[in-house]
Amino acid sequence: MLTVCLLPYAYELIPEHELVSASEAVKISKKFGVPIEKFPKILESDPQVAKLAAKPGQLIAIHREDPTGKYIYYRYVVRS
Amino acid sequence: MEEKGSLKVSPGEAVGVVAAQSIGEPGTQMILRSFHAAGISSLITTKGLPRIIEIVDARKRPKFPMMHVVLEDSVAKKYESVRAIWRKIEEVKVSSVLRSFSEDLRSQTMTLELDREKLASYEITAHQVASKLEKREATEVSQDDNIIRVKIKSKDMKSARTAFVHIRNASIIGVAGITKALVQQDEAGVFFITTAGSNIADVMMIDGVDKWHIYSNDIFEVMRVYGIEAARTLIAHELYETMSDEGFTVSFRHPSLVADTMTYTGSIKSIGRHGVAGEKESVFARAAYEETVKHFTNAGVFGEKDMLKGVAENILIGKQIGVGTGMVRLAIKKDELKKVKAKE
Repeated sequence: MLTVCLLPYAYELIPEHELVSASEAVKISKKFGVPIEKFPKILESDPQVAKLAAKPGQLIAIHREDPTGKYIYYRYVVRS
Repeated sequence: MEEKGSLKVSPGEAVGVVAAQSIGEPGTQMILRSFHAAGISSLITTKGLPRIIEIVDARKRPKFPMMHVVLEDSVAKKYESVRAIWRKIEEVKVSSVLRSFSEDLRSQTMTLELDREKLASYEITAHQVASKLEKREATEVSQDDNIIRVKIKSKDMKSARTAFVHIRNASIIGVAGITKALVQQDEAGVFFITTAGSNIADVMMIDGVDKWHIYSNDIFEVMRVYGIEAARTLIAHELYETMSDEGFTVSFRHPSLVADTMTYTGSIKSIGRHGVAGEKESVFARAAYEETVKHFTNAGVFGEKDMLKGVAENILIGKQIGVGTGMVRLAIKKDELKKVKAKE
């Protein structure tokens, strides 16, 4: 029998995306000791970015939840 | 609380190497088979090591794309309505209802003889086929019972010839790219549909389909429809599940790190020569991996610099690597030193 529960469906695949304000972005960049341009990238054309109407240069917080726990991952919006 | 803190990764830990070993070692034991027992009611999917290679190499399409579609509660238990949705999903092409066909290049006409039994089994009529073909550009369709004549208005024979092929491959009903769909039932009596071929965007739009409960194993398509984060989750999950299926349970952090590395640029990059390993900043690290001469010549021609910050290049020149305790640097405050010396 198929193990239905193990398949990650769409709603489980997409973590919550949240736009980070410019002042908050400065704090985050200080916390990690890395300029925000060096954060992992996300393309402007990405469906989730389009949904938030984020512009290149902004930071997006991704609220991830997986077997290792809950954590926030950041991605920097770049032109595609 | 103490226990939780002890599980944290300490600074300088070579997590990449640990992840590579944790995935690589079970990989050597995995059976190299790409097929699972193919039955009537199950679809073939890539399993085991070939599937892992497929994910890590970031292939544009999986060898056997598949989807798993859950239906809305209102229809999920009624077989008739589920069957109606299934009809809308499975793609039926002209060629699959053909009994025979003939092509006449001089008059640029094609005669299609449809098979009545096949038409009945798909519950479509010859008229449906004809009206579907009529929508094509520069074609004239005449239908007589199960015989359809198609006249193509084109300048030369070559384009007529390609048009003939396109007509045979034209889809009548269903979603493009879904070669086969199966209705299945779980223990609770709820129906769901599994498909061979993947097309999330179109299946999502069908009435009765729960658009939040679609699973697809096509990573690039998931990226196009849901975004890079969804693709990352899928990569990590697929790696983890594929290994679990073979009986190797790894910590989720390892596939998770691989998925992060593959997606940090915003699009999916493969691990290997054309992806992550081939785009390293250090010349030495790239040369140490593959295509040594190519990297050194290019670096020479373009005057590249190597900052010697990574692991591979430091091993190569015999320096201490910046990992673990090697990360720590000693610094002396010169003013303080003078004070100490003065005291002495």
